Amino acid sequence: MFGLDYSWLGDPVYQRWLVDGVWVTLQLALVSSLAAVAIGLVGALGQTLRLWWLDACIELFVEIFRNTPPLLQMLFFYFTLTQIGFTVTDPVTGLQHPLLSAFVSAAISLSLFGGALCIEAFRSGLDAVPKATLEAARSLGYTRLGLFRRVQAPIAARVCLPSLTNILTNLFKTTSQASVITVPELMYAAGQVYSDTFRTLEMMLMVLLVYVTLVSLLAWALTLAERLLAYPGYGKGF
Amino acid sequence: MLTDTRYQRRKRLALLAILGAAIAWIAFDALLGGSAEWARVISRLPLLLTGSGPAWSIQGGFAFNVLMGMLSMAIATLLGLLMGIALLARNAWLRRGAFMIMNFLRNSPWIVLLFAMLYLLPHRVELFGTTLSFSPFFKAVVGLSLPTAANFAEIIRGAVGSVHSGQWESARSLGYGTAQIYRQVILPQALRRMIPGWMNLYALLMIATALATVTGVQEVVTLLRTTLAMESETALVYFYLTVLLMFFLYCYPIALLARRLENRTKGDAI
Amino acid sequence: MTARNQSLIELDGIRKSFGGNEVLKGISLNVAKGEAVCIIGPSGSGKSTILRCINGLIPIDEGFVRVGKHRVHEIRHERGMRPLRRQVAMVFQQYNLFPHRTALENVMMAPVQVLKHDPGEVRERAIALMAKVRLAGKESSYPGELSGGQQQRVAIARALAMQPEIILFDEVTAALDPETVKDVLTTIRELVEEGMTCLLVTHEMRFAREVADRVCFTDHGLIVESAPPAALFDTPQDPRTREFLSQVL
Repeated sequence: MFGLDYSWLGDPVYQRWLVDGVWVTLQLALVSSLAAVAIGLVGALGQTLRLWWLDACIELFVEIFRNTPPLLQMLFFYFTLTQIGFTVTDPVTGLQHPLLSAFVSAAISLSLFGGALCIEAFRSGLDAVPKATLEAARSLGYTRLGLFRRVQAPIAARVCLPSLTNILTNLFKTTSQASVITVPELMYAAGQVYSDTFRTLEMMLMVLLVYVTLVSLLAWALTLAERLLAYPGYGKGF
Repeated sequence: MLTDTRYQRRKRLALLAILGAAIAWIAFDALLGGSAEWARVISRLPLLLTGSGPAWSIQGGFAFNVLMGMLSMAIATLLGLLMGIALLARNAWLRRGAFMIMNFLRNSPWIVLLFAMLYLLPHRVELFGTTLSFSPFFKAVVGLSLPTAANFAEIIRGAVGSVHSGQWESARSLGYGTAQIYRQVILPQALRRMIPGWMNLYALLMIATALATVTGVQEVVTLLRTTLAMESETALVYFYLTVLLMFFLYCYPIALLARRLENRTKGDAI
Repeated sequence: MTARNQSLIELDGIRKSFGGNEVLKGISLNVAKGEAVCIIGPSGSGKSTILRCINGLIPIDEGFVRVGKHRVHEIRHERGMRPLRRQVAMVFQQYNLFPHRTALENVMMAPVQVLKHDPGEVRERAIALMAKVRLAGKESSYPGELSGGQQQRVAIARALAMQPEIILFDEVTAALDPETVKDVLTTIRELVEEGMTCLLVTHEMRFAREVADRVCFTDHGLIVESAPPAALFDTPQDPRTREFLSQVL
């Protein structure tokens, strides 16, 4: 079809490489998504404490990671983290390995990048809870913690979900950049295959399709969660 | 409890203090031990910025990133507008087709799209007897503009959708036609809400131009990596920080301005 | 002096500014147990602010506020306000129901989560209260599915579920459609007749005249005139009261 040659896809070695690549991509995405949400929660909670110095530090963190290329962040973390010399000795071979592998560097870098986006999203979700609703909760005698847990957080969570969907799909897509620092994920595996077969266009079109499928599945699942959690009678972002 | 304005003022002061401390630390470091590394960075700075050692002409570097960003944004704005119009079209097939293309482009990683464009676009085309050659630079611009266009189409759709349905009803009851309603009523309101999104998208695109390194364009990350191959390992951190700072200084003001505009349009009656 | 000590709410010389704008310029007011007091006056005269000073939602700059045994102006922390808030409930102009909970859950939430009452017992009470505000059958609707008037009656049930001694009503009918106003006012009237201490900020002059034991007219941060409704509406003493009434009646 269209003069594209996919005969190499029958080779079990290439299949193995690509499946392993997908597996690493999924692991990287899962680890950094969980860490990003955790960072986002801690950061957004930190900002609700209304300590001006802490708030300033968090904002600086957010702005730095939002306004620089994740690729450069990844390269930076890869080269600095593997340089500062934490090494472990392999007990079997006696060889020195850097403790922070490419995968770990990529995971840390992506977590921080995603975390910065999450902080921003969660904070604006908390801000979106109407002041009047909070006033009503206060007049019912809720403590600050109770008010946060029972009223503010549940409402904010539903407001945040659409932007969280955006962030997590974005993060999933960004994992493909880890190939640049030799993390053996899908993009990297694809490179290995086409440097063998020279079927670059076929490979890239296939990788594109795999990513679009995975990202669409993720987006679909998150949108479903959004719909399940929505409360009746209020539109998006009420 | 501090009042809000006083709190914001203190926070801004704290931010400035942190930035000031960072600058002071760099200056201190440059005067003492780190001076050799900073000297290296400064000697390479013209190369990183313009791609040529003496910085007389623009052959690459950060200037290329800026250029790619602007060209891609121009193409993306046009393509996105067409896609956005198709998304709002009355013809269901057109709408569905545009929606599928938009989702495909939005859900594919930028770097993969760039690679795909690199191999999908021919090296040169014969058009009416003249030969057009597609350089990596051109391919990168196309590759970057596609996802940007899809995102812009979504921004258009969102902005038009956010105009209250009462506006449609009242305009229709006044005898306006559909095209007229768009032109006279909906777009003037939607445009105001589109601009912050468009600016944020530009900042996002600017950040993504770093990915063009995979197509072999002599932009700043490519130059950084070739430069670092010749530099000592201790200078590495300084070089990375310098290039990170370039992007930050370019993108942060745009993001800041976009947010200010966004806050201003938030007050609009919806 | 004795009258003062018997009163449930006592305000003396309250002043409050927002930025440079002084909203309350020395408000003094006593409300006895079981009394229904209406506060009327032009918009921006500080009526809603008075209510918020009573349950400590807004800290005052100067003056004396006592509710029951609580000296509100001396409480510095949100935590110290809690016993007070259990005694004083408030109903808002914009209902302010919690959109993520059903009507019944809105009524039950605070008694269970704040007062730590037994959920089973609160449930019974909440169902009875929903019937009392004539919303039986709407228990599992979400606020977004109810009309304004229905939401407001849920808000009243929510306030009553706290078993307060005092309820503050802040222009509760101002955001409602005329036909739903009646239902809400009927609910409030029943509460007054049952002897609940009520402080109402309202624009409904006819209603104020009918239910209130006393009506206060505020203008520019001061209580200009305070009298039983018949006296205030029929023979206002102050020229500002007369001018206001001539405009609204």
